[in-house]
Amino acid sequence: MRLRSILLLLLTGGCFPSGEGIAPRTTQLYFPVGLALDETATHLFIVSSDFDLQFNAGSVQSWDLVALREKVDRILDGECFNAKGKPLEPQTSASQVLYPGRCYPIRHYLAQDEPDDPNNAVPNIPILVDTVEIGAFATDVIHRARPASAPPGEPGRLFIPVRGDATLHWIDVTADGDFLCGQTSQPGACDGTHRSGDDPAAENTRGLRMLPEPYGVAADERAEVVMVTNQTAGAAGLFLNDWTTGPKYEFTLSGLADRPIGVTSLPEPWAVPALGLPHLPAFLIGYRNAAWVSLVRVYFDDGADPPRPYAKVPSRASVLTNSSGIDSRGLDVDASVRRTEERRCAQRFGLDEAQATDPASAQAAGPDYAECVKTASAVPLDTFVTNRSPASLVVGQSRPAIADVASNDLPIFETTVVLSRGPTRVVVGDVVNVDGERERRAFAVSFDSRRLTIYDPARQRIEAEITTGRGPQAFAVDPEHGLGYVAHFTDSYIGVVDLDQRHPDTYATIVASFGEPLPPRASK
Amino acid sequence: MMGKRAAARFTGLIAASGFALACNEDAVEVTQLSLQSSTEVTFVCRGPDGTGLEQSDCPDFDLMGTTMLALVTQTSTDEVAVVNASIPGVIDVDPVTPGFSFLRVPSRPGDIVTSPGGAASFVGLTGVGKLGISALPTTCLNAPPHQNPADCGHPGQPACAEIYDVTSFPACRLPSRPGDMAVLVEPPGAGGTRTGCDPSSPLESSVGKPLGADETARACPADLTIEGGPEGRRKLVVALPDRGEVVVIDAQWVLDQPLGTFDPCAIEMTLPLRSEIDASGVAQEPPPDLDPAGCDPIEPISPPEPPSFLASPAGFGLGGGRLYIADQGGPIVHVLDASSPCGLTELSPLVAMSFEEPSRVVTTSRVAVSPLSSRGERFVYALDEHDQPASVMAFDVTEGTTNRTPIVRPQGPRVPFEPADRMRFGPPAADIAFALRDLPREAPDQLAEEGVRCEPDPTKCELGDVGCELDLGTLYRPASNYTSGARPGLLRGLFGFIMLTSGQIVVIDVDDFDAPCRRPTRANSTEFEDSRGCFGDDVSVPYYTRAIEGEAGPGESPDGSPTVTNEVSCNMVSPHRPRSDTVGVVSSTTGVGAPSLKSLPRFASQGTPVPPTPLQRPKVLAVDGPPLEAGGTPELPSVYVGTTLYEKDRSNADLPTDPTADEEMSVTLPFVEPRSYLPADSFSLTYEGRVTPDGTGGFLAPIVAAELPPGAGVGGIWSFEDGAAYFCSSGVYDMGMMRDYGDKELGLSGSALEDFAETHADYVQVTDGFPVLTDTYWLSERGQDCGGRAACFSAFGRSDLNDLEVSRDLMITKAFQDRLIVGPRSGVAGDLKDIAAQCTRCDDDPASPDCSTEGVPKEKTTLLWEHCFPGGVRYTVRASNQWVLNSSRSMHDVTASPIPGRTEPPLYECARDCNPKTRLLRSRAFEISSTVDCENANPPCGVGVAPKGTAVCTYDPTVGEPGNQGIQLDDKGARCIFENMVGRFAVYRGIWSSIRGMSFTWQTSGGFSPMVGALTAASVAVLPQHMTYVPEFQSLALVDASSLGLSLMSLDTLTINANWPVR
Repeated sequence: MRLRSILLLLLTGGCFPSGEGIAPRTTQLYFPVGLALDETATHLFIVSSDFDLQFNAGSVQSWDLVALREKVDRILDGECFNAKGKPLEPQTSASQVLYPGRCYPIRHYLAQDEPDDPNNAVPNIPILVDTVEIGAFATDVIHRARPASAPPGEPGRLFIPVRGDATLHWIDVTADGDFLCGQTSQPGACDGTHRSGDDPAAENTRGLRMLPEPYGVAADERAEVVMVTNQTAGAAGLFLNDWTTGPKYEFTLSGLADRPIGVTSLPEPWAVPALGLPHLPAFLIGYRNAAWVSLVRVYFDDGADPPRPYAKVPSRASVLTNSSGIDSRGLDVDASVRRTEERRCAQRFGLDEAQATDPASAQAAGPDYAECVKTASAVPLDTFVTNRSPASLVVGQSRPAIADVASNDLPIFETTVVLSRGPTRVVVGDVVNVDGERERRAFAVSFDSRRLTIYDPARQRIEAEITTGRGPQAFAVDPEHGLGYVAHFTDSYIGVVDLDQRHPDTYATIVASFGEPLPPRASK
Repeated sequence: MMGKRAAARFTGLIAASGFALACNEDAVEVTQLSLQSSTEVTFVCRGPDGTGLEQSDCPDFDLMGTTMLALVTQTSTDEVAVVNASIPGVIDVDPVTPGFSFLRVPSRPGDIVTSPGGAASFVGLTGVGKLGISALPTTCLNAPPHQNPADCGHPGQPACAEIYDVTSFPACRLPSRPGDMAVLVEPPGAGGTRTGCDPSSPLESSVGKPLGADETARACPADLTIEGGPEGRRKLVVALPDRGEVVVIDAQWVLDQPLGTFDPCAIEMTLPLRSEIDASGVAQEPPPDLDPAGCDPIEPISPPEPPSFLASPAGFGLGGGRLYIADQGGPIVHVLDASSPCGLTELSPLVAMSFEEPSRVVTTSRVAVSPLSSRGERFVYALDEHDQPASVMAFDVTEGTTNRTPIVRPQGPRVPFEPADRMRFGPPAADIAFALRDLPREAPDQLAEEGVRCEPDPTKCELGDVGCELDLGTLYRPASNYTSGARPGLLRGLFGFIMLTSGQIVVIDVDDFDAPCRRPTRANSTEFEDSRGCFGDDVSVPYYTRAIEGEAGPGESPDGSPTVTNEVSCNMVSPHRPRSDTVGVVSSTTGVGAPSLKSLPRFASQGTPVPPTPLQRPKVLAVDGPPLEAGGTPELPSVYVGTTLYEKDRSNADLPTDPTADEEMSVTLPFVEPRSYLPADSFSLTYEGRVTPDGTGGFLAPIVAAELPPGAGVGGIWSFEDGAAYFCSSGVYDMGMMRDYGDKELGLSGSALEDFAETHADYVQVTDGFPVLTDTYWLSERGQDCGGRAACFSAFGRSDLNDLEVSRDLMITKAFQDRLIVGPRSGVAGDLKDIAAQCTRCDDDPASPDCSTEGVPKEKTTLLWEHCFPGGVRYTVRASNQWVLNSSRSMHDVTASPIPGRTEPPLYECARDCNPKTRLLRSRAFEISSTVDCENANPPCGVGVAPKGTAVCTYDPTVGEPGNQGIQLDDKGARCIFENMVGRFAVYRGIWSSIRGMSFTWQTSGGFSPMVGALTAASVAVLPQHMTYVPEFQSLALVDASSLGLSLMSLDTLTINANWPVR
């Protein structure tokens, strides 16, 4: 069987090594582990992990959020309906325990599979746009929009670490939400060229391949640099992304503390291009077995021939705010206040975002702009870390040094917030307040206790704790529409959270769910 | 009776065994946590009839059937857990349902408080969309009747009752999220108890009748009008942080609300909190030892005045008829007159500020109010919300005190690493509490009294004495083995407790009743502090010792048995500072509890082919302590070495002090302030030792006058720059600073002062090598200049020698934080000139940019330096012609002073800090040399003569008896006696000159160790939230949101003696 798999692998032109079992069903979410939205919040990308290897691959789905929101609106209006738009009774309270929300989860499907029935009482709008197969044991996903400085191409790209084959998958996404990853059929599997980290000869001059057990993934705003943590190796992998040819594995940052898990990028201060400071993308990495967060800087090594980019850890921040400080899982940074101030400077001096991040344009704006943006870039960043034991959200703030605004945003942790058992990820995003304005929140997901905690950093308090379905694993925020999406790992469906405070009855609750819930086989 | 835990396990085992029979698999016992995400707690005393009682009626000493209950908020389940604090168990209010069930409240619980008579408790509701207050009558703090699964629901038994749900308890809605709450009592007026604050309100019309619309009998009745406690109407005072105000709500009105409703709370009064600060004239009061006279930079200034702020009330503290409210929005602690909640008024606030960072806006998150101390004092502790590291301020709010700023404590110069007006901790602080506690001792035929202070006076009558009246204070004297009476482990008095988020609880001394007995036996009746921190003792008692029969009366002999602990310092107990965990005594039985040397200092020569003899080498030796009064007798030096006390002239343990007679070295460790010492430390005293850590990127650059303040470049040739060095913060002394030191500390003047400044200013030592031979640099024009690489070796020598060439030394004429103005060190410039003459590359065009600075051609020596060190160099900064004391803490008095107008980029110059707090932050010792030629004296003496012009302090070592020929305090050279907070000694010049790198080393132990209780002893994963003292249990109640739930920590042992959840 194993030989057959290898032969199949060769015949299919370098697809990921498929496992045993049948191909994943087109519409089925299966142990979803990652969610991402495109920049216009028109598509939701869901990564399924094939966690119990019942299928021969994992999968990525693209959902039409416009269609989904239309259905959510109807549910908020009091309707319940099935996948075909037929009216339904609200689900029973017993059912709501497993699947929160007033209505039963709505099954999703591809448009071509389930054409609209003209006899439906409610128009039938398919939400599933596309699906592709990837390796098993994906762990996360991020989406980055193609920057203006990149060559023309598809508007977005997904980066997905896959533990099964220790690679970084990458998938281009069209404006319509379709996937482009060399798949030969529809749906099909991504080809080998959309997998990085496993070809030392082609990817780097050091003969390096990514270490086993990739877990967290982060990329800078322009996705020049992608960082992946390797949870069992005490290391992180550095990829340089080319918007034409894809990411290439460049460097293994070893010598980190044991079990690096969470990773997030630090937004580059706009003072860097304005002051002509070196462009050094930076990341924060947290650990399961160390009570600190490391600051990682990336050096492009432009002066060398050939340049051999590398990363190093100039400093770290201890987590002293709870009794152990170790077992950090999620990690995210809020740069919204700083960015607002930087945008204000740019607007004052007539610069758009592309110009503000371009050294030539930014420096041409003159010393007054440099002074303005230097002050703006000194606004501290908020950092959020989920600690699993004790279950807590550790909140820190950076203290930028006057002489080094480049990438010295290492936080000092001074607050600990109680979370429910088993926190995993933390996501920074916005809710819509009663005045219709966006307000910043941190969303912490607690897998074990089925909770999604909404923390208000400005008022330093927990605003709400949402009881989710079983095994909440990933969360994504659509701030423009006041909605959040929570991926339920255990039962393989997506919950929709109302994040609009103008809805006093439903704010901070799961108002709808999508996908056919599938309890794990072991629980059947 | 089988407890619930045992029953659950038993049931589990039965079930498991059933499965085992059926499936032949091992049973797995699943444990359940009963408390989860616990945050706040209140205690309720319940009587046998289920109604509430005053908390002081519990525990049940009189077997009246009372029960102390703890109500613990559960934020993850929107519940309030009921814990029977008397037994190891929680109360499951729905035993029919598996798992633990508690009292459901409508939304996420916030603060929780109980009425004074215990009839009801009130919990704030903070969940989105359900903001309000819910009332929990004490009569329903248990499962409903017929909820025991063994007693209901089966044939022939009554049906199981409904469980309590959110409609079981009255509640009302608030317009904003409630913060902290308090129950205050509106005292009866002339016309009796008022119901409503406003006579025209509907509440007032209901006087004498039960309130509320629900006239039916309640399953959970609660009548606050008849509960115990002070007479008067119970009013809830509730903070609304988002509105910056507090509101007053009638507590009975909440209880009387129809069940199942959530109508708006009837707010009787709204008090917007002050949102501005009048800081004019507000200033902290430094103690005499921090008197900033003459030191402009630290003159205490008024706190910054934010133009206005939105008050954001946070933690409450109630005491002395005042309600203190922390504010996260502005730098004040609100003070409300709590004597009449209906007439709630705001008084002058406490001003949160920082003595050492006066420009910082200080906000607070928690406060605690102390009970009255034995001296009638009252204190407020407030948690500085954003200080890094975390800190707690203490305010004196004693009646009649007018200063509203944080207390600035004395002994700041001896505890320089802690702010004088703050208790500082590493991890953040989570909560603060006070405990007033006594363990009164009974005497025959006398009733025990509380608040009796330990009496050390040996002339007072103690138990067993005949013919005199017993002084109760003598009952608290320490036992000789410290197992009873005054000692660190006995918490008798008023203490503060700071709970850190790391799970540690730090004990703070406020008013230790036993403090008078925690001291040395030797008294000091003068007004001057002696080396043990004592002063002002009763002149009639020289020693706190008992009489020796037939030899000495009470207090007359040091050899009598002590009435005190005989600890090394009178500052073992210091108000508003962490309490010592150990007895400050060094003995073979108790161990090392006070600063002690592990061994006498050891000398290490450096670079001498033949080790010098004791007479030839330099010496570090203890010296007499200053007399307490002018003309008085100097204090004989003493120090513990291990557990042996070495004293001058003591047989078998004679402390070396004579540079001629003694071959051993010695130092003394002042006992004034035990907190000066780390628990253990290592010291090295090195001649011309390193001042800064080794730098790696120093650049020798031309001086650009435009970048410097006027005159800063005078005397220097180059600017030695390293932006990452922080020279001032490392303690670098330039010529000007050394001149200031010589003037003020050593009394030098005129040419002697100038010579001193020039010969003792720090210098840069370039430790780097030259580019390797194969480096292409040597092929460049600059590399080939000056004679090439060989010239560099000639000029600067090799970099791998133990002692580098002095030509690598650059004297520092002026120091800034990021650069040093340097020139050749005295006496070596001429050596380089000859070699530098070979540098000819600039001869043709000396004005070219590469060969000139600001149009001035570079000197040849500059070209030579540039030639040999073309890039950033490795270097260090060393002290010149002096000894440097290094330990694990940086000790210097140098500050970085911003130069006005230099902000782009900012420029900081190094200056001696006139802050008196740095008075003892010293690390530089200057040799004392001889006025006579000891080598040729008869008999020879052991102190060398300094070369002409370099002597700083001198004396005649031939004066005095052998064994006593060390420097005397009245010698002119005594100014060079070194003293900082952790050491006192003199360094004598040897017959041989000292050589760079020579050193003395010693280690200390027995330093200060704070008393700390640890939640982490019970569980590694803790997340402490709330702490309160429960006098009925003599314990601290600690709420942990992680694994421990609620714990009681005994004040006897500082260990957890009970904790929930039950597993």
